Amino acid sequence: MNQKNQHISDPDLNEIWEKTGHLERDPVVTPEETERALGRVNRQIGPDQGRANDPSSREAIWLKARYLVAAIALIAFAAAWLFTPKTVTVPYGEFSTVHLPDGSTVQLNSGSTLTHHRIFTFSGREVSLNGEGYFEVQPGNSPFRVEANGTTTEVLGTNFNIRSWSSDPDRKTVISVSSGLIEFFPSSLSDNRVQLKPGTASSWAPGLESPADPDPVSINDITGWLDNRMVFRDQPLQVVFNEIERRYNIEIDVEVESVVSETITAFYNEPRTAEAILEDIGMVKGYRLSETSTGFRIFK
Amino acid sequence: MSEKDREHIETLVELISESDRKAFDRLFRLFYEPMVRYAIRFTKEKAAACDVAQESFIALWQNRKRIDPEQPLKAYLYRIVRNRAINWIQRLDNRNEPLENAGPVSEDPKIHEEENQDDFSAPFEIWIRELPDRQQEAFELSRFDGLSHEEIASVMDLSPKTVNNHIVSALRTLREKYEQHLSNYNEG
Repeated sequence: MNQKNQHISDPDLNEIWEKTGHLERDPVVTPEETERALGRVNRQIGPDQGRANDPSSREAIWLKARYLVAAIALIAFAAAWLFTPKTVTVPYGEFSTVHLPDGSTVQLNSGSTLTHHRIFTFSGREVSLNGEGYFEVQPGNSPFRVEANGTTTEVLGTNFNIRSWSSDPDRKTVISVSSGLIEFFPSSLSDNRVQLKPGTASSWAPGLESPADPDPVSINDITGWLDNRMVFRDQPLQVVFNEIERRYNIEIDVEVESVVSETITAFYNEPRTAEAILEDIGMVKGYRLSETSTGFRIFK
Repeated sequence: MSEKDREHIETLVELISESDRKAFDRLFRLFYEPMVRYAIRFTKEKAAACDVAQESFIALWQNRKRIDPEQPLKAYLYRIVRNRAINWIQRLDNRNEPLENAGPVSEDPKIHEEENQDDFSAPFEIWIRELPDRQQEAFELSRFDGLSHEEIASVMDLSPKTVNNHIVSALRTLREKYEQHLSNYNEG
């Protein structure tokens, strides 16, 4: 408000000019009214003004930025998808065969879960297993690794069976080799490894420093499940019941806790019903059986 | 208006011509109130004056690519408002509605307060309002809105010499009233 008077030479008039400079004029609109008016004006102008006829405008740059963000999001999504492991879970009462990208196959027993990366061949041929699987591994440049409940099985090209149930009473992992050479070790103690030749088996359970020394094993027994046979050699009843639950998709309620830790050896080379197998074992172990809505009850 | 303010406005104009909406918002906050005040001079009604001011800003934005950066933006803005306000009055006249029906004339309540202030303080506000329209307009644009005589000339579509005459006449009238006021006070 201290604008200099420009063309007035009369000192009397200058005095008036100075005096009127002190006048305060009340605003005719409040700041709130100004903001509301600005909102109205901006809505009328619209957010897209200038984009079409001025590609270098800020709006255009923002538009490009949005496309860039979308592209990055898409790439991230694709990468996330590629790196998200693929998981196969076999329903109870069924078997399944997984064909891996490198040509290897895994036959999975009922209730087993196998996980692998989609970019399998580039990420170094690693799978993880909970359950039982028979692996036929194609020879390759990189080692083929199976992670199973704290164990690692490392091979180049070979056929083998891994039985590794997290529900196992001892959380025991058993590896049995049909052909080729494999190395087996606890994942956290990779120096403590054993080499297995065809026809041998080793095992490891949490708490042990090293895997068991390889012992000769009947591969025919081990892979019996592939032919829908059931083979139990000195197995605790808990293991047997778990296997029957998975194979026949039933629930077994055990009301005699003393029974589950007893071991049994049994061979069922022809497919039998769950009831037939459970009755058979009951004859030997001295428990009784009754049918429930989902399976069987085992009691004294 | 200081030199710094002028530079600030010049920067805003440059940004607005590059479609910078934030600069437009800043300019709006700076000039919306003076524009409404200026428009009321013609419309005699605040709501219409607000409409005129908002339409003028929209027109400024739509013509942002054609704004001559050499021309002072203030004068440009005042000219848009003036033309639109006069158009508004003419539209009103064409509908044969007398101006009185356009609503109550907005009067600054503070003016009434100051009329009752102590006798010595000269009521310049009242005297300014009593000036002839064109003198009053030119004087206020110069004294309160900080426009140069050249800018006022371009806004009011007059020669700078006529603008100067209006302002000098206004000052003479105000001085006469002031002297009268002083002598009244001394006698009293």
